[in-house]
Amino acid sequence: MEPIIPLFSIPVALSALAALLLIARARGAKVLGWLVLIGMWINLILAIKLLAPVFTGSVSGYDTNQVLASGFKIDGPAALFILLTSLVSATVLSHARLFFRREREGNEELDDSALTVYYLFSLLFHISMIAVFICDNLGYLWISIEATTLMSAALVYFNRDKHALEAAWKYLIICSVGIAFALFGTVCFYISSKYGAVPGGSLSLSQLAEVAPHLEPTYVRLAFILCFLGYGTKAGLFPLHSWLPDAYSEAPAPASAMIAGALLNCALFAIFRIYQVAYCLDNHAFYQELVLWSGTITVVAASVFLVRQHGIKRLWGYSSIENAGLLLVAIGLNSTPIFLLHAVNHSIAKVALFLLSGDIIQHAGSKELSQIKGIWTSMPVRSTLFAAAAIAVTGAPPFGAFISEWLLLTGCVSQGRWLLAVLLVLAISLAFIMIAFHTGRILGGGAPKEKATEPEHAGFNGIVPGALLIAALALGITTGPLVLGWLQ
Amino acid sequence: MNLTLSEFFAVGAVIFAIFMSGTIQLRTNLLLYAIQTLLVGVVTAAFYLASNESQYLWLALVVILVKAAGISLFLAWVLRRINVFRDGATYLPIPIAMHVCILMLGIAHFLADRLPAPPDQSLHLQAGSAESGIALVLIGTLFMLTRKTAVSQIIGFLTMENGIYLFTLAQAHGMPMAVELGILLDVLVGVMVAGVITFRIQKSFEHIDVTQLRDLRD
Amino acid sequence: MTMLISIAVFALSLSLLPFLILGVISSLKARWQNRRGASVLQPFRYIKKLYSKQDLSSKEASWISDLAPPMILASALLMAIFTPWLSFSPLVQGSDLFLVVYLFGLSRFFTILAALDSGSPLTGFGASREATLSILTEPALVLSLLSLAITAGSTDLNKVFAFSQTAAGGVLDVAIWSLAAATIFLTALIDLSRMPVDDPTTHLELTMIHESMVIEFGGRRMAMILVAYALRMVTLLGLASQCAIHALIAIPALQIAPMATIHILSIIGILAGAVAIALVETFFVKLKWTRVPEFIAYAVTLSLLGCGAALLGGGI
Repeated sequence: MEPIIPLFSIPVALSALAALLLIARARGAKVLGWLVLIGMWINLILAIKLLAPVFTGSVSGYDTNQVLASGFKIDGPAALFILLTSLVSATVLSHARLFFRREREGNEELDDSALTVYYLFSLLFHISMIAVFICDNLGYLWISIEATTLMSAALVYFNRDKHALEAAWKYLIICSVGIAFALFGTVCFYISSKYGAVPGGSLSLSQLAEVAPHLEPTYVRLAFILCFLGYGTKAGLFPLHSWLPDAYSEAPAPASAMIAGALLNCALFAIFRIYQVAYCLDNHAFYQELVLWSGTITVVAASVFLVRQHGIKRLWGYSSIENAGLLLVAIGLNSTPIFLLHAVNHSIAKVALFLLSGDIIQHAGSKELSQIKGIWTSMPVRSTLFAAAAIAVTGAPPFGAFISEWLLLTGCVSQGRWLLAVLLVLAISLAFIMIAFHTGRILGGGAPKEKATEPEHAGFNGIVPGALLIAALALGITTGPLVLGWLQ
Repeated sequence: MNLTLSEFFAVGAVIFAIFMSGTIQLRTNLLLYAIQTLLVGVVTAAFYLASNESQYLWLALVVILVKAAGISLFLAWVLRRINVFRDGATYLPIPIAMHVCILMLGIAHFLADRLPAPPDQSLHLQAGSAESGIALVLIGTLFMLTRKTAVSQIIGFLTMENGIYLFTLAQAHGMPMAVELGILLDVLVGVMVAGVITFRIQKSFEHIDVTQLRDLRD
Repeated sequence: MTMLISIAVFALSLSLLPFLILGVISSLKARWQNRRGASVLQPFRYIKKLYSKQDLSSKEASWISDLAPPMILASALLMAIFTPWLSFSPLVQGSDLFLVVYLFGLSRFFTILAALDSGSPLTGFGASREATLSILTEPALVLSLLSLAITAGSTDLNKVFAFSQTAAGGVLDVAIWSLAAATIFLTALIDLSRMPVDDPTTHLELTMIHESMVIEFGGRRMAMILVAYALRMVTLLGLASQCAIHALIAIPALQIAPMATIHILSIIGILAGAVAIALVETFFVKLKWTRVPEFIAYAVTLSLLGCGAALLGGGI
């Protein structure tokens, strides 16, 4: 069975509906919200059903040479990321309905059309992210990743104020330029394959990996470095990360949850794919060192940046950069299971964290850490969840991220990279301390006097983050043999 | 050294890019960008004459119609709507910027010499030159770094993109058609989005100097 | 015999073309600006009138003011004779690139000196601006001639403009020659104080360059300066048009043009340059003084590109 078209069918139909609503200037955001909620969960179930053969091992992966132009493929990691992205989209879009309902109480300008625009671009964003994972062709991969930038830029600009404008502009330009270098790298991969490795040249990743030793060495090196820089910009690699905290902090919470939970994976997935090609080269030690060290430096830098932060979502932005660094180290160790496990753990916990932060910002009326204090008394359920999510993100037991970070460190040690392991441990501890410190101040510390914060009933608002946290907890407890055996 | 006609046009594109960095009039920048892109299209057409594969003819048409004409007209329309026609101040004085661009051309020549010879030797002289491609990428980057308005940033990015295209054409005779068209679509949508954001910047800040957007920081 | 004819034709064009060019520019400008304008022959009459006028000089002026106009005229004349600005220019021994460039500089030097000597503040302004411009434009002129010298392998201008080495580079040759043509034309605009840099018809001495330098002169000395100006203009435009013709015949299809066509073309080229100047002066406005360096940068850029192309073409 051909899984690709059904995978896209529901989001495409929903986005077409949103576009029609927008063109007709109809007021149907409420209905659209419900439809998107139901549709995306059905989409998730459909994705599980379609991709189950990949996991059970009955099918090694889907190649699509027959249907479209060749260049699409779904293998184990891709299938996992598709499921993860579908899960993130479903949960975020479910919570978004509640979030925006509350947002509209205080904001007159947030009319139906603005909401419809949000749903439209979220769905397009989802489609472009799924497209990233099914690409086996470097060219298509580039096109999809640039598409994710363009679609999410609209989400970053959602608030329509000066700060959102600045964040959206920086995001668009820095990522586009970074991605332009990745295009240059893609071209170099193509050229390198033309020196006898593949007659006529090839952009297919699986084909490139097969013939890797025959690729032209100068061009491959150039290609890898350029692609790494380009996609690294998108992943928030230090020192190319400057757009990331801005975009995370200015986008509305459901959008930043989606960007942090799913988009980060797209960029890392691209690096993962090109690293698979580079690892087949004769001199792969160079590439390994490059990836490992840039990952480690990113982790260290991000945890240092975490010390002095004034915005709640900027804090999580830097935490995402840190996790991107950890994921890069996992890629560099060439350990696919750790990479996938950590990506899943981080995404699930980070989505919950961003959704809860959105609620807290709404409640406190400010994004500044100095203004958000003592929420424990006013929203007990969600602040408990918030504390749990923050701890989950830092990789403390018993949550899933602990297992993956622990595996990562043992991986480093088993390869004899003691320096790397020590640096990572120090950085992770620093990040843990700082996040615990900031979270503690948000929860306790007494409410600011001028704001009379009356207790708020959590209602349905706790369901989605709570479910995500239970998933993170379950991952932590059940990981080990199950997940590892599954993926290898 | 002999210069083929296609190399001649490719170098011509670089020369117009250099001229482009020699003015702060945004509409002149746009015009010179359009000429530069037109020459890139002509290189593609020249390659069609040499290789006789019809896809290059279509590609040349698309490049000329979409990138040279369409995008330039769209950006000109943006400029007229927001009523901004000059790039107030640049980081590098204009004459020095032009001379640095020539230096870039020299660096590009040096770099292109270091690269291995193109894999397909039979036609490679008919496909522009790698050196012009690299030079365009460098000039575009310099343009983005030294200019301040939103529209100049877009033009610099487009110049970079032209450079990558020219490099691909010279070294690999272009990517597969589907990929080229996808890239073009992305660039087109990207310019549209950036144009819309430029409108908003003008509306909110009453200028389009993006270097003054500095509120967000740690 | 042919030698004699060529000298005669050259002498005739040297004595007529400079003034005709001035006349063509001003009458075309007048036509395009919807004025009737003076006849093409007006410069002849004007110079004749100046010659018959009484010569006055300022009280502060020293002997330099008497010496400068003949020196300016002499250097311009020498330059016109040494430079092969027409395809039928007689071959003069020693028409070296650097000689020409420094004759050019010499006439400028005396203009500036004379301007300073008269002691008027306006002429001082003009002189300082002229000095700045000459510093900025000289690289462009030297480099563009040098790029040609590199391809020819000699700094002897007779060998450079010999219509012989077109087979060397094909398209590259076209590029080098057209770059040189463009550079020399731009240099001419700047050097002759034409429109984007200076407005020769302005009536505000504060904003002028060339006209404000020579404002203290009248009568016979003014006539000499005017003749020198016309000679310099025709030489520079001639050089530009020679470069353009070389670029044309470097195109393979046009390589076998007969010499007679080239001779006619070289005169038409100069006239075309005059038309171009008139066009520029009709449709462009004078640049702000602070933006002039940006304009000159284009000329320098072109000449640098030409040099690069010449070096690539096998000069080294």
